[in-house]
Amino acid sequence: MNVDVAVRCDNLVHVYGTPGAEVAALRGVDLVVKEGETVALLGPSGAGKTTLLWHLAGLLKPTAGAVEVAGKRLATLSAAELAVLRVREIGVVLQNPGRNLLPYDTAIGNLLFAQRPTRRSGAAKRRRAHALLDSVGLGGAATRRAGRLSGGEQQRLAVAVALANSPGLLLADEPTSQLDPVSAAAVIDLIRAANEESGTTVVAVSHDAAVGAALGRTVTIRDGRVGSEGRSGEDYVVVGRDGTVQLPPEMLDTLPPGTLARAVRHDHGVDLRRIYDAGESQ
Amino acid sequence: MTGALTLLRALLHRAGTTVVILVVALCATAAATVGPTYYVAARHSILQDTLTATSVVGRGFQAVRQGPVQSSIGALDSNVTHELDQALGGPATVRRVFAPAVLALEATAFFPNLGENVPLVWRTDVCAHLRFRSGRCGTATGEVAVSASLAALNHWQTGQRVQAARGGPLTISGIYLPPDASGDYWFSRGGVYFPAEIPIAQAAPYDALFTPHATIDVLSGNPQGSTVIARALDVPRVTPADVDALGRLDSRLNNASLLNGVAVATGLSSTVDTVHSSWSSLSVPVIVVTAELLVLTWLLLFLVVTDAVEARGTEIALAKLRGYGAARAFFFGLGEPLTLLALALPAGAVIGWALTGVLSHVLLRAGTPVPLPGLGWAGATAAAAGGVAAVVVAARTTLTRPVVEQWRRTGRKATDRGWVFDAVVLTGAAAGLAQLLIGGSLGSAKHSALALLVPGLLGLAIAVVGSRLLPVICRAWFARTRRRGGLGPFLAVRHIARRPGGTRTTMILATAVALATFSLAAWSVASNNRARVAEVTVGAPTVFSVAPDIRTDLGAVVDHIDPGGHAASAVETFNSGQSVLVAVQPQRFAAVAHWKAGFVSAPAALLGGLHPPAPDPVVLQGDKVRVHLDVNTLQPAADRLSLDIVATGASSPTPIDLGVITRQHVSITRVGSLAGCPCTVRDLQFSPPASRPGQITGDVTLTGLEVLRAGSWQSVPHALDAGQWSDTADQQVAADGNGQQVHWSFFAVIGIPPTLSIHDRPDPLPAVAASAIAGNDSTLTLSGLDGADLTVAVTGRVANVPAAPANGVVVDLTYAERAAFGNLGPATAQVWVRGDRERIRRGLQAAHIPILSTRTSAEADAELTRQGPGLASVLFLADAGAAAVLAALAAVLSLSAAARRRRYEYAALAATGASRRTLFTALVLEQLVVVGFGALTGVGAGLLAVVIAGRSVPEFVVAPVAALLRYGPSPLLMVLALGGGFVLLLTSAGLAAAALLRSVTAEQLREAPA
Ligand SMILES: Nc1ncnc2c1ncn2[C@@H]1O[C@H](COP(=O)(O)OP(=O)(O)OP(=O)(O)O)[C@@H](O)[C@H]1O
Ligand SMILES: [Mg+2]
Repeated sequence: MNVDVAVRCDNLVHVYGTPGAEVAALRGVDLVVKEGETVALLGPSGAGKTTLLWHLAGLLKPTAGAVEVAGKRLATLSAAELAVLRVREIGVVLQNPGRNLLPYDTAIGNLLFAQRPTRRSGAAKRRRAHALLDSVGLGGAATRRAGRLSGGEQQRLAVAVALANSPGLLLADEPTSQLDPVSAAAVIDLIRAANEESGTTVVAVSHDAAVGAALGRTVTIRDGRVGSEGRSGEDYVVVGRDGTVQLPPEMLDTLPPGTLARAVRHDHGVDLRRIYDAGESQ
Repeated sequence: MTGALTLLRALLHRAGTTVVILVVALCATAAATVGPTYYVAARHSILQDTLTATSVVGRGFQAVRQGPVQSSIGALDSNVTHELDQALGGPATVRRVFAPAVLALEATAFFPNLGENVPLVWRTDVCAHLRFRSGRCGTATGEVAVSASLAALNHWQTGQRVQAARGGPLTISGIYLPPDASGDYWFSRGGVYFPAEIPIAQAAPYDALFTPHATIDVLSGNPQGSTVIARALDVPRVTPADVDALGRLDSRLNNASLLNGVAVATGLSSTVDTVHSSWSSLSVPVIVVTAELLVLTWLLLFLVVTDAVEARGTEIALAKLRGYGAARAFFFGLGEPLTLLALALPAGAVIGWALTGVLSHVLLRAGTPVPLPGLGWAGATAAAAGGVAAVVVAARTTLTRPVVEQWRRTGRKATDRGWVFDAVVLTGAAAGLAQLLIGGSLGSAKHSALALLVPGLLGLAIAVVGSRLLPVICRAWFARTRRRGGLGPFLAVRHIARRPGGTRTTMILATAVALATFSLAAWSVASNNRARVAEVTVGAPTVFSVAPDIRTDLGAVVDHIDPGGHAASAVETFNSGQSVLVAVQPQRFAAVAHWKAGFVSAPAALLGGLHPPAPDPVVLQGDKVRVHLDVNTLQPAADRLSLDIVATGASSPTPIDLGVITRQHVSITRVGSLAGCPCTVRDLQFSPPASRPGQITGDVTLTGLEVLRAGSWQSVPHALDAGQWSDTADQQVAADGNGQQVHWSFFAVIGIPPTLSIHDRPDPLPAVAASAIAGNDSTLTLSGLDGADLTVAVTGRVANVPAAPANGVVVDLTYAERAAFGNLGPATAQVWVRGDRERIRRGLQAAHIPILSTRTSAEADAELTRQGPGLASVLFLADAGAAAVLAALAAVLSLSAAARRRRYEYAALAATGASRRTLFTALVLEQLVVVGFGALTGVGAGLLAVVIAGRSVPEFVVAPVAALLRYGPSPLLMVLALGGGFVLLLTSAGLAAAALLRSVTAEQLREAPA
C-alpha cells in the first residue's frame, strides 16, 4: 500500500437503478491521485463526474471495483469508521450550492456545525472558523444567515466549510458553477491555497476551463470512463484496461465514429490510420 | 453551546412546524396531567361531598356505656382516644381529622310528687347550644336548665327549687327553648333530650334538665345511666389519605377489648364504602379517557414529526456528509422534536394543572384544593416518553436513509410500508373491540367504563379503512375530472390521490372526531338522565321540609301563600319501605312537580280525578256529646255502645263510652264527655262484652247527634246527612232525605263488632300510581299517612312518580288526611315550590311554619354531576373535544404545509394563465375533501359507537330506576355542536387556502422543488 497515494480507483463500476432500469454511470474507472496533487475532473454532463466524486467521499457502494482513500478501502469500512474518515480526511463541496449549508444558520454557525464532530476546543473551533471566513473574504458576514448570502458568497462559504476540519482530501463538485470570473478566481485561489499551505489533495469537478488550468492535472471522464488526462497543458489519452482508448473530441473529425482504422505499432506507441472502404470516395 | 444556537435557529426557521409539534406535545403532556390531577382533586371533592351529605352518624361515632354514671367518663374517654390513636396512626391525625369530643352523662331525676322521670344531663359545652327564654344556664352544683314545655307543664319558674328523688333540691337557673337537635353537636341524641318536641314520642315526653358535671357527681348512690362520647369528623380537614383508616374504625372500636360493653354507633364504614364506589366509578374512566387521548396525541406526534424530520432530510444528509456519527446525527436530526418534548413536559404539566384548576372550579366542590400531584407528573412524563418513542419511530426512515438517496432517489424503490402501520392499528382495534364485545363489557345490563374504549377503537378501525378508501375514491374521481370538470378539482383530486400522508391525517382526524362525537352524545345522554333523575327524586324545583304545628292545616296555609295555585303545593308523604304515599293538592301539585322527567305530558288531567266530591267530616267541639238512638232490634241485647272520635293529631281513636244497651224497642239518649277536641267522629260501634263473643244483629236509627257548647245543646251540622255514614261490612245504611235520621241495620260477623263509620272521603281513595307498583291491579293496599293500611283505587298510572319514581302513589291530601283521621305524626310534611321560592319561604315564616330543610332539584343535579361518572363524562368531553380540535388543526396545517411545498407549482400555473380563482378552488377543495371526509367518517364512527356502547357508559354511582333513563342524545345539541364544528373546520380550511394562495407569487418560480 502506497501511503503517498491519496485516492485510488480500481476498475470502479457503478450502476444506478434496479434490475431492468439500469444506468451504468461508471464503467471501470482507474484513477490514482497522489497526496498533494490537485486534479480537475472534466467531462460532459452526465459523464459520471459527480458519481465518481461521491465514491471518493464514500457515499456510494461500488457495483464493482474498489476505491481507496488515505490508504483505506472504503467498501470495507463500517458506517462509524466512514464517519471518522469523513471528519478527519474528507471535505466535500456539493454540486447544488444550497445543499452545502444550513440556510437558517449563520455563516459562522455553518462552520461550527461542520467542526462539531472534531475534538477541538470550542475556542479553537471558533478561531478556525473566523480564519476561514477571513480567508474566503466573508469576515464581515460571520453572523449573516447562510440562506441570505448571495450565490457566490454561498459557494465560497461552502468551500470554507469543506475545509473546516483541514481535510487531507478536498472533493469539490462544480465549486465555481454560479460565479462570475472574479469570484470564481477567488474560489480557485482558495482551493490552491489550501493545497499549497496544508498539502491538501484536491479533486474538483468543473466545466470551467479556468479550474482546469489552475489545477495540476486534468482528468476527463467520458461515458463513465477516464477518457484523457492533461498535465502541464498537454493532453494525453488514457489506455483503458480492455485496451480502449477515447480519442479527444477534436480528433473525431479525422476519425469519425464508425470509421475503420489500422493500429500500427512503432517504438514508442501505436499510430491509428484511417482505412478507406472500397465504396467510399477519398 | 453552538449546537444550541443552531438548534434555536432551526426551531425559528421552521416556526410553523415547531408550533405544531409543540402544541401537539403540549396537548399530550397536558392531557396526561389533567387526568390524574383531576382525579386526585375529584377524590377530594367526592370525599367532602359524601361526608357533608351524610348524617352526623355517617361521619362520626358515638360510644355509649350503660352503668353507673359517676366517675365513668374519664376511663371511657381515654380508652376511646387510645383506640382512635391506634386506628388513625397517632394523636396528631386524630386531632386533625376529628372535631373535639362531646362528652355526656345522662342520668334521670325522678320527681315523686309529679310522677315524672326526667333526664338529667351534663353535656360538654351545652350552654353554648341552648337559647334561654328566661334565666341562664346552670353553672353551680344543683342548678338545672329546664325546657319551656316542661316548665309550662309543671308551672315552674326560674329560680324555683324543685325536689327530685335522689340528692338535694335542684334550682331552676333558666328556662331554655328546645333547640334544633339535628345539629352535629346533639349527635342524634335529640330524641333522648327533647322528646316533647317529637310528635310521636314513645318515651315520656319530658325534655332533659341540663346541669353542670358536679350535680351528677353528688347524686347519691351512683345512679345508672349512660356515659356518652360523641365525635364527629371535622369534614374540611379530612383528606382522601384518611379514608381507609376511617373505614376500619367501626370494627376496630366495636371489637376493642378496652371498649368491652361499650356500644359504638357509627355509619363511617358505609360512608367510606360510598366514597370508594364513587372513586372507582371515576378512576377507570379517567384512565380510559386519558389513554385514548394520549394514544391519539402520540399518533399525531408521529405524523407531525414524520413530516418534520422528512423536511430536514437534506440537513441530516449534510450532517452525515460532515462525518456525524449515528448518535450525533440522531440528536442533530431529532434535536427539534426532542427539545420541544423536553419543553412540553414541564410546560404541559403546568398547563394541564391550570386546566384542571379551571375544570375543578366549575365542576368540583367549591374550595377543593387542586395540587399538581406526583401522579400528574408521572402522567406527563409517560406522555413525553411515549412522544419520544413516537418521534424515534417516525424519524427512523429518514435517519437511516443513505446520504445519496436523500439527494437522488437511487437504488431501492420507494416502498409504501404504511400498510404495515395500518394493519397493526386495525388488528389492535379489532382485537380490542372483539374483547369488549365477547368479554361482555357491553350491553345495557352491565355498565362498564370500558365502554369508553369503544369509540376510540371503532373510530380508529373505521378511520383506517376510510383513510385507505379516500385515495381510491379520488383516483376514480381523478379520472373523471381529467375528462371534464375544471382545473381546480383536477389539481385537488390529483394531490389527494397521490399523497398517503394526507390520508394519515384523515385517519387521526376521523378517530378524534369519533371520540368527540361519542363523548358529546354520552355527555348529553348522561346529563339529561342526571337532570331527570335529580328532578324525579327531588320531585319539584324546590322542596321545603316543614314542621307545621299539629293543629295547622298546611294545605290552607299554602292556599293562602300562593293564591294563584301554580307556585306551591302542600305535600305529605309516608314511606313504608314498599310504597310511598304522596298526598298532594292535586291541581297545585300538577303545576309544581317535575313531570317531564316522568314522561307525563298532561299532569293536570292525570290528577283531575283524585278529588271527587265527598261529605265533610263530622267534627265535635264542645264539652259533652249526646247521641239519640232508636233501638228497634238488637240481638243479643246488653251490648256496649261507643262513639269513636279522634282528637286532632292524636295517634289513635278515643272511644267515648255511651254505656250498655240492655233493651230493644226503645229510644235512648246517651251523653259522653269530650276532651282535647275539636275531634273528628270516626264511628259508632256496638261491642259485645269480651266474655261473650258472638254474632250481633240489629236495627237502629240514629236520630240525633249534639254537642254541649257554652251551656246549650246544639245539633252537629250535617251529621245525619245522606251519605255521611256507611257500614262497609253490611251496607245496610239509609238516611232520610232531610238529614234528620240515619237508619242502620246490621248482621255482623262473629268477632267483628258492627260499626257505623263516618263516610267523609271516597273509599277506596282514587290514586295515581307508579306503573311499577300498580301493575295491573285496580286497587292497592298500602300505608296511609298514619302508617295504617289504606286501600286506593288506581285511576291513573305514570312511569315515574315525582319524589318516588318506582313506588309512589299520589292521592289527594285532604282525603288522605281524613283517611289518617288527622294523625299526620308519621308523615313527612313538605311544601313543593316552583318559581320564586323566597316568596313561599317568607309566607311559611309568616305562618310560623318552621322550615327544617330545603332541597332543590338543581342542587341534586349538581351533586350527581359531582359524582364519579358525571365528572368522568365532562373530562371525556373536554379531552375528546380538545383532541378533535387538535386533530383538525393538525390536518389543516399539514395540508397547508404540503401545499406550501408545491407553491412553485401553483406559481407556475399562475404564470401560465390559470386564474387565481381556479387555484383557490383547487386548494380549498383539497382541504375540504380531506378534512370533510375525515370529519364525516369520524361522526359516522362516533354515532355507530353510540349505538353499540352508548348504554354501557356508566352514568351513576348508584343505578337509579331504569324507567327514568333514556339513551337518545339531544338531537339539537348534536346538530349544533357537530354543525358548528364543521363550519369552523371549513372556515379554517378556507382561510388556510386563502393564506396560502396569497403567498403564491412569481418568486416561487426561483425555488427549486425540494
Ligand atoms: N439515481 C440515479 N438513477 C439513475 N440514473 C442516475 C442516477 N443518478 C445519476 N444517474 C445517471 O448517471 C449518469 C451520471 O450522472 P452524474 O451525476 O455522475 O453526471 P455528472 O457528470 O455529474 O453530470 P453533470 O455535469 O451534469 O453534473 C447520468 O447519466 C445520470 O443520468
Ligand atoms: Mg454532476
